[in-house]
Amino acid sequence: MTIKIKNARIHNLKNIDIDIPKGKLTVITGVSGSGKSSLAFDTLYEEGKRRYLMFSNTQFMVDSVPTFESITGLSPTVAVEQRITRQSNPRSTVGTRTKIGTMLAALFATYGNRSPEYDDGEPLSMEMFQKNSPKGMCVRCLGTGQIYTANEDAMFKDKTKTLANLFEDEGKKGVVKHYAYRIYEFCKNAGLSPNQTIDSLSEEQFNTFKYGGLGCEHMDGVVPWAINFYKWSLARKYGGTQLTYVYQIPCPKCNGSGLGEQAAHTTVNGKTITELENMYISDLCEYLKKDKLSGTKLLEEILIKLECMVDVGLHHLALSRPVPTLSGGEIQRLFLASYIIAEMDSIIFIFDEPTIGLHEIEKQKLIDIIQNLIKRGNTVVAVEHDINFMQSADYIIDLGPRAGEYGGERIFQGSYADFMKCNNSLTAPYLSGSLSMPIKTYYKSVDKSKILRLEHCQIHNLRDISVDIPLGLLVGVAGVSGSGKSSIIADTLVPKLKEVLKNSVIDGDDTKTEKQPSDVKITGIEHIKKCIIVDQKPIGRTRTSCPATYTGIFDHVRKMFANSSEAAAQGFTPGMFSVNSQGKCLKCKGDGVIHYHVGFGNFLHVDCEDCGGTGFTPESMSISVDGKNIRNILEMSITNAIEYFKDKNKASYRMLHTLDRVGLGYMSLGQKTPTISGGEAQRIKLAKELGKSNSGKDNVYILDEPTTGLSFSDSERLIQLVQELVDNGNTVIVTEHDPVVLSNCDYIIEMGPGGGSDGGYVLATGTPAELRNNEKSIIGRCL
Amino acid sequence: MSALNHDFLSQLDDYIKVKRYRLVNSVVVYENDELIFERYYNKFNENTTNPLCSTWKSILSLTLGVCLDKGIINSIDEPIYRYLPQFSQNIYPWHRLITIRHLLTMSSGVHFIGGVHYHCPMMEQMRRSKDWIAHIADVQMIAAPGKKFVYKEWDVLLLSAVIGKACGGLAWDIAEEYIYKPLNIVGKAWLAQHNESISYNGDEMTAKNMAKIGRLMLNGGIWEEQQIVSNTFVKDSVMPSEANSGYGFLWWLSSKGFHARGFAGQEINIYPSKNIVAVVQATVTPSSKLYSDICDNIIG
Repeated sequence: MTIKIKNARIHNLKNIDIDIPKGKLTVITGVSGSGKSSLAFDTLYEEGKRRYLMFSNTQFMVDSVPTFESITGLSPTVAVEQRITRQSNPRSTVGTRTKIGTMLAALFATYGNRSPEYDDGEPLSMEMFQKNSPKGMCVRCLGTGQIYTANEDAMFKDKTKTLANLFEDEGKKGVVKHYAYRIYEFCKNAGLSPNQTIDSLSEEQFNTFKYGGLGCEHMDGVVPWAINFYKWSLARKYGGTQLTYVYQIPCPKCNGSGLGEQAAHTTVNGKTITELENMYISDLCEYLKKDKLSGTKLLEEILIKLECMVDVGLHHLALSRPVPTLSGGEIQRLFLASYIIAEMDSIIFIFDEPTIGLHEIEKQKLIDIIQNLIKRGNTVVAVEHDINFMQSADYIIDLGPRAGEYGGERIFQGSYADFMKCNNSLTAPYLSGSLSMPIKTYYKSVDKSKILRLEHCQIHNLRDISVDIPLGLLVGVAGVSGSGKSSIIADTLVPKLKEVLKNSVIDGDDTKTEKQPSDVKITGIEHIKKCIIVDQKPIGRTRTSCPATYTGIFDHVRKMFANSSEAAAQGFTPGMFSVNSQGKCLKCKGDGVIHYHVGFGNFLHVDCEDCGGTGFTPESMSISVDGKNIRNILEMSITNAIEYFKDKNKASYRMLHTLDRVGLGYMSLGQKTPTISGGEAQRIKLAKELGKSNSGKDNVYILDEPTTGLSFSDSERLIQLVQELVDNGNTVIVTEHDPVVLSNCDYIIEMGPGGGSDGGYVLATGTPAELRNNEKSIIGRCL
Repeated sequence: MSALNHDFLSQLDDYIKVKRYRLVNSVVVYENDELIFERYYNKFNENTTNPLCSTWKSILSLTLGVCLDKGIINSIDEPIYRYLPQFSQNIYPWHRLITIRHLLTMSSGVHFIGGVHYHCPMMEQMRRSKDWIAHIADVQMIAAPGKKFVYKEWDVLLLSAVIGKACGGLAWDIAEEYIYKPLNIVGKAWLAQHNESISYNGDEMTAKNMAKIGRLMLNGGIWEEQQIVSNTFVKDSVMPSEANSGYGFLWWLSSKGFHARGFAGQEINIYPSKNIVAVVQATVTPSSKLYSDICDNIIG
């Protein structure tokens, strides 16, 4: 039984024939951009999904361009792509995503013990335990668990200030300006003068000034204005977040649970639903097992789900954890857990690097789980680079030899043992050991005078620990999932640096507003000039953002087109060459594609007729520079673009060159955000920083699993790049699981020993060699 | 002589049949205080009562009018915290600015989710709480009082409580004594929450009794030469409010007249220019329906 794909030709695939054995574990490997995802997701998964939906009469789909000649042997296909799962509702949590939250709600509604004082004799309903439901949400905070409040005492402390100057000390221009305009209008309506001092107001006038009430159009009173302005600015990342008098506090009515009275006074085994949802899944699982209710079908179902989540390495999460804060690997395993529970066979599962974010010792567990899927009669196809994972695969497909147009060929298909003998592959030599990842021989030593020290870290599961980060080195942070790696770096160090360095912290994402526990102390900050955070969040927010727009290359391109004689003659501005501005096709609004909803949340995508799928107006397309119009430029791969821009624009040339060096040469300049993986996004961000002409020294770079999605040869290049940064006098902090990367670090901080309630300590620190000889260290054995 | 072509009587009947409005129970039309059309369906007759649903709100508005006339309440611009201490706790600074007028015009600014078919999910928690008013006082304020019209139950509950506190009894007592009795209306005692002085809906009436409310409004508050509610209040009730020009004091306004409307298609329609009052009653089902087209298309 095999799945036979004939003449696959989507994207860069070069009419390849592929056989995939059914009931086996197949790994598709190859360098980044070689066509792995095109084969696994865009061909196999899309067709599997399409056929299933067609014959079950659920819906119809039409593919305009056939991307293969034939596929035989298909069965229903399920895929977990990182790029899709990253985009999710900001309110969804692990509990809501897995539906365990709903099951717990049902458990509480049915078996909950009610406090007699709140028992009105009427039965409880499930909605009362769900904060997204108007029946269950706390009415004060509407389910968010937080309310905004203003410190009125501080705000009106200085009674000699005039009404107009109340916020003069706030400093931020936006605040002062926004307020000035409104207070003038307000005073006009309220019969007050902006130049009056606060103590000249009568009590009634003071109340009006504070809370409004005279029907003023723009402002109801200073307090509501301040709170609303704060909220408004928060949503738009505006200066108002600097308003010192306004802050968020846990809702006093529900104590932060977001639920109403009934939920707060109903318990199962002595704990409320909020308490259960805040427990680590491993602890919750143990706790529910002790429950006297055991035997009820519902509880059994909940336990099965929880145990699965523990098995796939999600023991360290809590049900209340928001999905957007999970790493790509965690999200994928969350989905994996739900598939394991469904006892099905003959399904084709397609995974995208399932081992991402797993510690060496956790990987084996995951491999066992996947092999169980196979034993049950399923087929698993995984895009993967991990050596252990490949060794346990039954069948290997290697695509390549290189990326983009130099890839897309089938290099090898067959067993792992045969793969070792394959000479054409760029991957096989690393596996067989004939080529090995370079481990550096010279380690930079710690400069005792340049140390960044964090004290009293206790966010999440951290146990009031202190951490020393030597500067000017390549520092690795290791530890099993949930051991506190992200807590120490992303949730303690980064916010603290933001607080101290303010605008010298470069972070694409400003949405985090978590209040920093004030007892964290940081010293050694004087050695840092800038801090650059390179995370895996998408580049840009709009669908049309792409590498070219993000790195600023497109600004040059637009100017270049607008300055061409043809364009100048017609009076075209740079905006004419943007799909977000004048240049966008009116019909598809610059998307190039029109989406028709065909039911069940699925869309039929049809190329826009007006612009032929380009997204540009015919006018902007008519201009070309050196034989390429704006669309051709965006379709160019980065490798090709280097040549094109060589003599045109120095800055763009340098940027493109850096993009190529981080292993993204295969990517097109106009590749849209939704199709860019987390690892790719991170490397684009890294390139943007590296590509600047004066990167300088004394900067701190923070990277989260930079080798995600990279093949061995790509990883090797990345390590070189990072090493360059360090050699130039910068500090690079990487959170990483890959032993090879860690072995190349000058200094390692290992967190542990376990995840969640078992973690939160610094397990070991030192050079890789020191960790190898440290009995406490877990990762040391793998270095 | 009637201004209406009396062919419309048969039209009205046909219209309901053609539209297959199977849940409509009664249609009663008065012109110049004379009954000119009366038709019952689904085994209804002139003695059958039907729930008022939210048309009750307009009766509550009249009840408030009575309180003003009797001096039980001084002014509609009185802040409600004078009657409801739960609103003087400064939970939200805006609480102290909410007046009776805001309650009458559905613009208190308290957050409310109407939900699908107006099933009011937020009422569930309130019903189960010990102190309804305190519960409403905890609900997030989303706008300054008077700024934003949101049709909601909170405002009428608070209004009923204000009247109850002001008269030392229930709003129902006032309505029964000063409106129902003089108009000879048999209603059903409003559902009471005695410890909080709230009496809230639950009323049922015959179609003709409902029409009496409309006729009272049409006649400027006079019933059989007796001033039941002051003419000024009746006039003020149907003036566009600040937050919604299509809404008065718990009365819906249109270009043709003003209307009491309730869940599932209960209506008292008043067309002052034609001197017509038309009542529609319908069976209450979980999904709300509207039959305003019957009167608007044929009468209005």
